[in-house]
Amino acid sequence: MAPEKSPVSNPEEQVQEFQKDCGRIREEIGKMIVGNRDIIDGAIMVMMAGGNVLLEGVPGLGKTMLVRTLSQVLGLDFSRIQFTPDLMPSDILGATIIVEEEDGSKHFRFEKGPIFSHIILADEINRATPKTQSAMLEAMQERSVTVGNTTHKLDPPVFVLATQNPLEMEGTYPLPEAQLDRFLFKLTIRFPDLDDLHTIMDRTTQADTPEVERVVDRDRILAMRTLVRHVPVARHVQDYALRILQATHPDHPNAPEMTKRYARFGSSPRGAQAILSTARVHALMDGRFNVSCEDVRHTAVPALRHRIILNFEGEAEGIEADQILDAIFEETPESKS
Amino acid sequence: MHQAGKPNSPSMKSIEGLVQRFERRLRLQRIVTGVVEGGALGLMIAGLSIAAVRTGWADPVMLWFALSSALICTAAGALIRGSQPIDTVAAAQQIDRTHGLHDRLSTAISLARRDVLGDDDRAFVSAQLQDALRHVDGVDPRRAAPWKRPPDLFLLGLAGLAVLSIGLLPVPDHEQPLPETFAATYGQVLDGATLAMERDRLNELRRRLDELPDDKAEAIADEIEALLDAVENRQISEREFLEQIEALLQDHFGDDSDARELETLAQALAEAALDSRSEHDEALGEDLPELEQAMEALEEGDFQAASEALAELADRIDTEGIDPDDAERLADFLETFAENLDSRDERLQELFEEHRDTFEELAEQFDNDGGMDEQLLEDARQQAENAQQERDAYNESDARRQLEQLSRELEQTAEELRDQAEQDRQDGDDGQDGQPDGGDEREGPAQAHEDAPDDAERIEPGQSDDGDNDRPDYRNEIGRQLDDVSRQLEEMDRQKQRQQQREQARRQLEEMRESMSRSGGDSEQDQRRGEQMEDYMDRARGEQQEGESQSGGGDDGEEGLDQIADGQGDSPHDGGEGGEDGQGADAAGSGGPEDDDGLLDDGDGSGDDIEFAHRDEQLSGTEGEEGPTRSEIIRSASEEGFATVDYQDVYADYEAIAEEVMEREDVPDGYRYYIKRYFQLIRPAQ
Repeated sequence: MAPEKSPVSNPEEQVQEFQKDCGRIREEIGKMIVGNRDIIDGAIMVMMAGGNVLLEGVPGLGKTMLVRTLSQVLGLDFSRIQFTPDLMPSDILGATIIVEEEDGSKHFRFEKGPIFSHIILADEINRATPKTQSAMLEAMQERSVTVGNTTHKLDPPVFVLATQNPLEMEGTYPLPEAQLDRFLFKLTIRFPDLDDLHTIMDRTTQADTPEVERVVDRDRILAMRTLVRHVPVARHVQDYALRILQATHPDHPNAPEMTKRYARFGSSPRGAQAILSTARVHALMDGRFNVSCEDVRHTAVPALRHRIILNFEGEAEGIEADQILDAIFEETPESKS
Repeated sequence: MHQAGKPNSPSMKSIEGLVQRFERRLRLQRIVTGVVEGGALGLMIAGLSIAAVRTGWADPVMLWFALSSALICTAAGALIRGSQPIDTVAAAQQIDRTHGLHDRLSTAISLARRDVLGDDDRAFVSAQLQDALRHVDGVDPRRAAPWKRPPDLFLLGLAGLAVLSIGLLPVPDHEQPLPETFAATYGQVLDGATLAMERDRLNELRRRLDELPDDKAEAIADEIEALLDAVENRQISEREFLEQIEALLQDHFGDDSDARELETLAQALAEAALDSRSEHDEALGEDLPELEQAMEALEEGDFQAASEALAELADRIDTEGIDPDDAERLADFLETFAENLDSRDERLQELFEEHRDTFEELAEQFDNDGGMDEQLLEDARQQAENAQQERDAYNESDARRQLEQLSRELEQTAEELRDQAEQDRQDGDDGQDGQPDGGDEREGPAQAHEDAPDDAERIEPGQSDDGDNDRPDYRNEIGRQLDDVSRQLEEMDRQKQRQQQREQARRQLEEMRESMSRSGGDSEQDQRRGEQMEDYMDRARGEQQEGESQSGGGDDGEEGLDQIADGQGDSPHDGGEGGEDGQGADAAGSGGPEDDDGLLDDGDGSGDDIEFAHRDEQLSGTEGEEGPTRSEIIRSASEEGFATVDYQDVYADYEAIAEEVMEREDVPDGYRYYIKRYFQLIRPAQ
């Protein structure tokens, strides 16, 4: 792995390159993925922030296409895991098998699973058993896989995109809150509008299929990740993000009425981490050297929507976390004074 | 680059200067807001103060408080608002938001105040600062802090208008004249007809007062008129009406000493005249008819007639002279009359002393012997003492003085007459002796009597004695003294008339009270009223028991139907009932010629001449044992029940009964007139 170039030698230039690369990545992905600009940006932001994404959407909306295209654009390895109820952890992580050499000797060799890849698509992750899900999520969080007495580090960058179908809940194992917390963003893929559908039809039913090019390589991605971490966050912006986080807790004084009425639990501090990490990326993608409150609000929705646990009333009323977050944004001022 | 992020670096000063301009603008706006808020509060306080001053609730010094409160509140509002701290980062955030700078300025300021550890971070902070500086030039503080109308500006204007209104518009205050005192309106105490009748009576009294002024009667008339005005205006209740009448009666008639004195005077003169006439019964009416008339008038208590008779006598003596014998007789008579006036008092005194001595002797005797009720003796002695006190009061009264004065004047007149008669006889004798000398000097009226045998002895007016020119003119002197007596009697008559006027006022008051009692009262049962009405009808028809009509003590003051009933039941030869004292006179059984001086002087009751001579009689009733008198029954019935129903009904019942009785009985025309007149007066207004 080539050493990362210090991104701060020339911040202005680095920021511009970052913005430019992100733009190219977005353009290349856009060749294959019609619409869903927010999903693409979200995926880029999470990848640059070093997190993982949970994609939620009905089948056929291009989730797999998005992940594949992203791997092609970024020039990274890609593996897809279709989660089924009989999927075992070893099916993901890999297993130690006995290998017989040509000379007849036998020894144990660890056969890597699909997790050992840069970009992993965990398709319909909620269909696997919690045991398998836990194995997957451990690798996502620790960036390593322990099999037997051997720990195998995953080669960075590791970027997991898990999908789940919100409709077919029968025979599924919904992810527990602790595991949902491991995902930096939860992106909800909406059904495309008519124009986007036309475009999709044009691109997928004709003889010529669009080709995407690799825009960046692995090193560049790591450099961009390093640059992200140097983006300064002012105290009042961070304070704003934290106050938003507090407002997700129904028992907090600053919580809006909607939170108090429909939320059962609020976000963990990981939510604020996700907000600020992705906000930095968002600022850089916008060509700025600082994180603004707008960045916080932009990233707070996908970062917190899966971290707010609704209570029974909220579930019964069909309240979505996005509605609670909108109420929080309305009632949380950017500055305290 | 790294220096660029320091707080005191030129780049930061540029950003901070921009933010400070924004802060000043923001502070100015806050001061204006504070001025508006404080001014509104101050104006409200000032408005209250001005209102308090204008309405008199506060001293005018409060105006200074109003002014100072407005100023102080305004200054306090500006000070409080202006001194509120402004967060620089928040101010920079405001600039960022209004200019779309995505927190560049606020982040720059925030990062400049924070220690940045790593070089990479410093480089990035410097880059961020330079990025912020690139946007400073496009920042306009006015856009970041646009002038906003103070939120309480409307309230300020409203308070200002309120203060102006309070200060300029007339504000009703509690110092304005209070509304007129609520005048309580009561029910009608007297009906309209009664009120009109009482006013007529009052006017009649005033006419009499114009002829013969009397301050006391004038005062009573004024008070009666005021009372009638209050009744007419319904400013007085029944109870107050009765109380005022009682107060008037008590104030003006509680002490009836004047009436008693006048009565004593008249009685003394009448007795003296009667005694004197009995003693000098010989041909007094032939030679001195005026004296005879005067004595008769005195016996009847007619001071005016007596005075006129004496004045005629004095005039005749003055003009025609008087025979010495007549003068002698006149002197004797006057002396006797004077003695009778004095002896009456002396006889009473002697009688009282005699009785007292008797009482004391009896007391002493029975004290020694025992067996005599000591209390009875003590009561008798007490009565004697009371008589003595009354006697003393009489001695100190004006009547006594007047009688004494009259007695002295009569004695003096008699003495003068006797001296004159004696002198004339002497002069007559001398005249006969010296007829030729003195006869020529007699002229004038004396010449007309020269044929009379005793003309030489007659006392002529202007006669002078040639031999004694310094002798006083006795004839004139006698006439003058008789004139004095006449004037004194005339004065007594005026006193009597005044007393009659007061008595008339008293009767009017009592009758007003009675009228109110008849027209007012609480509601009663119709059945009871019917029974009372039936009882009244029986008695009005003369169907009551014999004892009821003949018994009972006198009750002066009864009139109206009472008189009508009496007039119907009694014999026409009774001469009618006394107008004011009818019941008492009737009950006492003292009718006849002596009592024929009541309402009508027509003894047969058939006269319809309302002109009558009357005499006030004060009769004390005696308590009967055979039941209530007729007047008591009727009065009690009227007080208890007749007023419980509408006056119209009562009036109709009474009038029907009266008409029925008049149709059935032989009622004289004069009585019919009064009955009809009475019901005409008491007829209801509706």
